[in-house]
Amino acid sequence: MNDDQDFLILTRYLEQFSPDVEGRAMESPPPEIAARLDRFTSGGVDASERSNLALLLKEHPEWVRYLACKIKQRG
Amino acid sequence: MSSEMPSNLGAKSFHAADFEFAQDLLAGDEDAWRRFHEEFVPAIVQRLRGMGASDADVDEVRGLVIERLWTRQKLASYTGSGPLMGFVRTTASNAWLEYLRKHHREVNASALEGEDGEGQAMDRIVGGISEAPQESPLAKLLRDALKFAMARTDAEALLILRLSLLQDVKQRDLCDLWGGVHEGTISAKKKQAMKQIRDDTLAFVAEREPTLNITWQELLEACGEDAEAILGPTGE
Repeated sequence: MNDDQDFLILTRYLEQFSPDVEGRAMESPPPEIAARLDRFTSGGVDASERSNLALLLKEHPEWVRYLACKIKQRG
Repeated sequence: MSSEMPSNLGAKSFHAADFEFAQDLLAGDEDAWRRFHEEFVPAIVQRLRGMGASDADVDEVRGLVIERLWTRQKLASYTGSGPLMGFVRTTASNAWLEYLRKHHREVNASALEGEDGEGQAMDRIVGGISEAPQESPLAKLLRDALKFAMARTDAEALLILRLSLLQDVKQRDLCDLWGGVHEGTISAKKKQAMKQIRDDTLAFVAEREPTLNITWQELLEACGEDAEAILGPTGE
């Protein structure tokens, strides 16, 4: 086992109870939040805003997938 | 339980000898049965005694575990994703916690009889059972422990874990988003977060069930492919 595998096992376990819990469900954030996430993906945020966004996404893991899509689109 | 597994779990170890042993047991092989009684039954008893079970409790719960493995064909659900001994020991832990919960309900039923009629007391108990989720005590304990640990995890580190492992965002993209840090910094954040999740989960379990003595490896196995077999309700 390694840490990556451990996290996947635990995530899959928690997902049985709620798919939103670990951020696999896709839900678009409100426009204001989407704009902040878009700025994050463009590299236009400082450490403080990055920290605030991380806290926000911890509370709303359903928006993590939106962020991931934006990061991949950027690449 | 879904049979779909993440691609990066494909290389995990398969306990072939244990899997073959389980198949021999299911086929009724005498040598396999003898070995089970010599090696596995004492391990079940040791685990139950370690959790504070009396001799009478041990007899009853040991029977529940063995009945569950065979009559309910839980052993047939064993996939070999972890050691069979861990599978059996954690199944015993699950059975023990469910036994304790059932005993607690019986105590409550006795207490209620003193307050109103026996019929009303039984209605309350039946009502309580029907409202209870189909989740064993160990399954709930592990879920609560993991949610507790996740809630305590550093938000940025948790975001990195989720983006990297659940959404397949590349490490170099994460480095860019985190102000151009070195890949080692991202790896260190992930490693630190996983250590915290592990420590907090085990601490939560130890606080709630001090005698359970479940290891991280056993916890992972209980949450993994064999979760339904290990953690499903034991009683009727």
